[in-house]
Amino acid sequence: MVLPFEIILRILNFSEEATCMNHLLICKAVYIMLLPRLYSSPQLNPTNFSKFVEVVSLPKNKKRFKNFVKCLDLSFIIQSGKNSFVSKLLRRFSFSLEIFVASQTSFGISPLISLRLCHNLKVLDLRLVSETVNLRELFSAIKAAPFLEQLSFPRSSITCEDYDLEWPESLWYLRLQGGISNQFLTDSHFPQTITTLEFSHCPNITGESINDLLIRIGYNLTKLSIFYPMPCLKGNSMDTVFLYCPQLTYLYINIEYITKDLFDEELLPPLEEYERPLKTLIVDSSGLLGQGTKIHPDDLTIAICEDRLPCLQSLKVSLMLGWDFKSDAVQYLVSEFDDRGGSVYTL
Amino acid sequence: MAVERKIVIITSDGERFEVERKVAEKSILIKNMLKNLLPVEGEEDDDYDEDDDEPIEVPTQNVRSAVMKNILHWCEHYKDHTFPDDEQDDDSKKSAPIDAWDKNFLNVDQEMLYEIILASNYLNIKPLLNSGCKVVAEMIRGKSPEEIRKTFNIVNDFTPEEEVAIRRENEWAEDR
Amino acid sequence: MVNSLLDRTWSEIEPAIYIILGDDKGSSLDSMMYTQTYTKVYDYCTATSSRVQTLVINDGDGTGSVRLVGGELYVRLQNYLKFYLEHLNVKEGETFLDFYIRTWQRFLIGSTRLNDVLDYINRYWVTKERADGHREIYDILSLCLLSWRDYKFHSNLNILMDEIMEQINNQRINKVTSTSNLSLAIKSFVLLGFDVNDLKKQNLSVYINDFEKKFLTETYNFYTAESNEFIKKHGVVNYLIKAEERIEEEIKRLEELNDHTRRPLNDCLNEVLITNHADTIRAELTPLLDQRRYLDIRRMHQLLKRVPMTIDPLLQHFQEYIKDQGLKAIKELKEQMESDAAAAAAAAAAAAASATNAGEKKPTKKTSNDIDAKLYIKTLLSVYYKFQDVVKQSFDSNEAFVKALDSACQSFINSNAIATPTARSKSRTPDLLAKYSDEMLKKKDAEDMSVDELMAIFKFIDEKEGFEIWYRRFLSKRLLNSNMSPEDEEREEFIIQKLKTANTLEYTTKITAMFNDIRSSRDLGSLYKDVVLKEEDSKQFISDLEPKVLDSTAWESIIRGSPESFILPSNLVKSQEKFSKLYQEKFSGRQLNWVWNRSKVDLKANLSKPGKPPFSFIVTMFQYSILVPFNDNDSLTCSKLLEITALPSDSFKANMIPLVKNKLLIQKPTGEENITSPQTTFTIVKEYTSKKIKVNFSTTVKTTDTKSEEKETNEEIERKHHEILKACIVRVMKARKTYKHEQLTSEVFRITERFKPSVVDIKKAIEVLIDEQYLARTDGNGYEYLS
Repeated sequence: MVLPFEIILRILNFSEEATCMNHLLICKAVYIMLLPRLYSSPQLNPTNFSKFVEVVSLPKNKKRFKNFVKCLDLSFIIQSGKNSFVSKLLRRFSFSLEIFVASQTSFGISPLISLRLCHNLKVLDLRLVSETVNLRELFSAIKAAPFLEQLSFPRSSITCEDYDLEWPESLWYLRLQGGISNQFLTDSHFPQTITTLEFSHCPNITGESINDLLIRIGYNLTKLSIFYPMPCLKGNSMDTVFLYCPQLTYLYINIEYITKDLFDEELLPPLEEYERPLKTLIVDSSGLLGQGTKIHPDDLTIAICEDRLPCLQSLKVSLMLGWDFKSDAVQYLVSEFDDRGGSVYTL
Repeated sequence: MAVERKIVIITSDGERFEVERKVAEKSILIKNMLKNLLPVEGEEDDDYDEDDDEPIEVPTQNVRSAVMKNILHWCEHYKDHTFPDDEQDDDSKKSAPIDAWDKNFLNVDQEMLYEIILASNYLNIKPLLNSGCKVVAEMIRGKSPEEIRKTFNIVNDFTPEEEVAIRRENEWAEDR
Repeated sequence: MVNSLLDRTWSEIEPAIYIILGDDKGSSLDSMMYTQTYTKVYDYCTATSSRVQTLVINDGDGTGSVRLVGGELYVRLQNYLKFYLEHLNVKEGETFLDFYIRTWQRFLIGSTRLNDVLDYINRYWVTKERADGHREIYDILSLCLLSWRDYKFHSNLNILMDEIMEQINNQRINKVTSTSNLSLAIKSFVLLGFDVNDLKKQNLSVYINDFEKKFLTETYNFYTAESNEFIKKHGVVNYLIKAEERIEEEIKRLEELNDHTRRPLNDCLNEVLITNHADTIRAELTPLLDQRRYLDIRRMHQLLKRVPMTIDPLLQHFQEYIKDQGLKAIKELKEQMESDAAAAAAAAAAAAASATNAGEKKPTKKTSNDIDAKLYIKTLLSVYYKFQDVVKQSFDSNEAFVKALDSACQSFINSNAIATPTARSKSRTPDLLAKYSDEMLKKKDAEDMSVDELMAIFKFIDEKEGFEIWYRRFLSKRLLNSNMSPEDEEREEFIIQKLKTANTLEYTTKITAMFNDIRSSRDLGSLYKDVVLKEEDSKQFISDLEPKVLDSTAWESIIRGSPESFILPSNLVKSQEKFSKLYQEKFSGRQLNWVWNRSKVDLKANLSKPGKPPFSFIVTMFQYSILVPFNDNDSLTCSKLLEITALPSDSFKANMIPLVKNKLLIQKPTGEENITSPQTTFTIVKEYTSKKIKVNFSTTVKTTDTKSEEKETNEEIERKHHEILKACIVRVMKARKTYKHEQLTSEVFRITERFKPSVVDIKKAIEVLIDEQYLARTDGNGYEYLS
């Protein structure tokens, strides 16, 4: 009994390790069929990185892998990456590359220039990059990628002279990190297409400029995360977030930047046209002293009882928030969530 | 439609299976055929017009009755189940484990398993085909190239040099 | 071997494919043929692939590719489709369009079936080829349609489009059309468009480029020609009907077209049938209005409405027309009034001339005071109502047209030949309207005048403050001079209520206060009477006192206390004191001023012939004070009377004249100029003769009021304006602290509601405020608020 070739391929595709060596060696036809899959998203780590670079760098392989690699994730590469390696990989895969995650080091000027060749890039993740990046260079690289949907800024310091930057048209995910300035937030024309916004490790950014940005693009946001530390934010900087972002379904916030006013009726009013869609709320804590009394469970319970958070299903709070989970107040809140089929978790 | 017309599936060895339409229509081949053979203007379609109570005959030249029996058993089991038919969702289907009922159903000798796979491919019954392929995929897990070749009845067309070259070139992928 | 399998397979399935696509005899497809064909293709693909004959490996540069089986069958089919389609021919007597529709209909069914029968090629080979980026490979259905496009459609596009457009044009000129199912041909354009990247996506490129463009151009041309000729031949009014019909027809045609055409067709029709003729159509508005053809105007509006930008000029035409009509009506009224007056004057002069021959010729000069308020207001209303009706009938009471009507009315109601005889005169409409309301309220049943009419005009008046002041003047007379019945009061209050709703509560405060004063005065009167009658010496008091206690703020400038010195006749002093005491008890802290020049006295005079009842005289308080001393004397000198009454001589004279003229007192020596001579004596007649038993001497007393009433009212209006402006400026400056002159002026203009201030008025108010140190000038033409 012989199965048709198309069925054999189908079977191999269902296999957990479709591209393992045993499969590659079945026969030539199978080998050729599996090769693009093996290279489309290579699993790279410090041990195999140089071998991989070696293979794809061979002159005879220049054309072979051109259209294969779609996702290049260098997040596990620590010291072995060199600027010239990264730059070479980007150039080699520029035609097919859709996702690029940069490593911590080796994202200097030459990879940035090679990035300009990657016209099909959809995701550019520089969150691990710790080398100084020039914003204008970065944006001129992005300009070559009209389909870019997700962008994470480097956590390194950032230099920038002016803010008249062209943002990609279909960007919906943006993570802001590192040395961006307040002027960048207030002066640059952030696109209205952004629905997910994250802040992390921005030592210069103040609450005023974040709120200024939220006034402009907050209406479209469905997910917002503000990670610790943001040293220039004040103890109540983010209290107005529900006012500016009525469409949020997900909010991650640190207790450092909010007070109980976040749930006040003035700042969290019931919406007229639709139910406030917030589904998930995460309140984290840095564990610093003096934050324990900022929010009492009742502050949230009241907002829920007054139906101002009708869609809230999931609440995650940090253990370091100092809430006594055996107390009546927390138990009452938990039962409110139970009643609506949701739950309360601790971080 | 007062009484639904019965479908009679005729196998390669001439056996007739009378089934409900919705059972037969688990096969996209049969479903499309029934759709296409409905009378259309401009054609002389005296086949089905006159005798509505006559069953519709569907010859399936490539399936023998022993296999068809199994296939129809499966179709009967799923007759009231609707499978999502979007092609896009292939990835999630791939990772989903084999349905327990299907696994039991496909617990047959390899000959029959292959025949069921071939028949479901021929009749275009995708959920059954996928289950069958998953069973085979499990069978070859961890097997050497030579063993797999045997399973599939494939001849090795690599030279020893080629084999070495492939091993060396893709060595990085094994370092995980 | 492979080729022989391919050849064998193809030769086995070709007859079936022919039948599926449609053969000459119209053979039908049965289930055996269906599954056999499917099985043959399946066997071919799987049998070959099982032997892995498909592998092509190119070891030269280390690349290789694998192709599944099916390509050869695909190519054979491709060629066969070309052959099949090229051999489809027009039958005898069949137009190309009929042929196209007939074969397309069949081919589309055949292609759908073939797609299913050859499914195995689609499932693996086509899918993989497209996944590998071969965009030139299509699924079987698309391949069939593309073949049609290449071999039947593109090559015949011109004749096809010509015949389609011929059919459409035949429908348009009501020629019998020979082709049914035209929509099938048009829909083929839609199905023949492809998105190469996603075959499931509809792509209208073929429909838009090959059909829609030409269709729109021809439609445009057809209706350009038709509409031009039609208007020339049948005129605009008939054209309106025609265009309406045409649009309806074409919208119905959309059922046969793709919905994409809806907008461009709409735009095309709007442009060619409406925009291009909008000027001509609108020019017809004036004649149609002249001829009162409101249904035709309605049609015009319905048509133009489809292109909103053509409505604005129509609104302007309409507004201008109403304004002209209003101005014309008033001008005619004025001419009518003048010629009536001239005729009356001539008649009077002629009568006078024939009677006294050499009498003094007093040319009766008509002053504007004599304008018949009712006639004036009625004329304004007639224009308003007429066009209100037009707005309803022709424009569905559309908001924009209501606004145009209102603007036009506001314009001609406030300034016209009667209201503003010269460009700079203040509008007289407010006082004529107040007069109108006065006339209405004085009549017991004014059937031809109504509050609604009053309010209709009131709505348009710019000078609402002026109206209020005039209204109060007339109201004061009604309140003081006549006895209001409860029904009258009800009517008065009804109007006050209306004014209040049309304006603010504050607007009617004074009017209401006046009204209430009269009411509480009546209560005070009966209270006084009750008290007085209970007194032991009740005879000493005047019991029938009709006090009118008026609040000075509301009545100020209408009633002013007499400046004259005056001694109250002694028999009235007790009553005065009693009333004052009562009043102070009730309202302690209020100051009561007596306005003698407005007081009247009813008195009985025993001057009748014996046996006749005594006369009843109505006299002013001053006349009374003059007459009282004659109870004890028959004759008194002027100087004596002046001493007793303490009246100033001009008041004395004014009050004396009616007494002398009506021969109650005999003056010696006679002549008005002698009345105030100290030595002139006045003697009371023994027996007074009059046909009436009740004689009113008070009405003919010339008061200074009547003469300067208009002047005074206008002064009051101006004062009021000044107050409002000052308050307004202070309010603005309080908020702004500093402000430029121009900004201040324009803001004040904007927020002044009840009248339209002039720049000079505002300037004057600012000057005063600077003098009063509310404001100070700043450098550069601005002001600063000083708190």
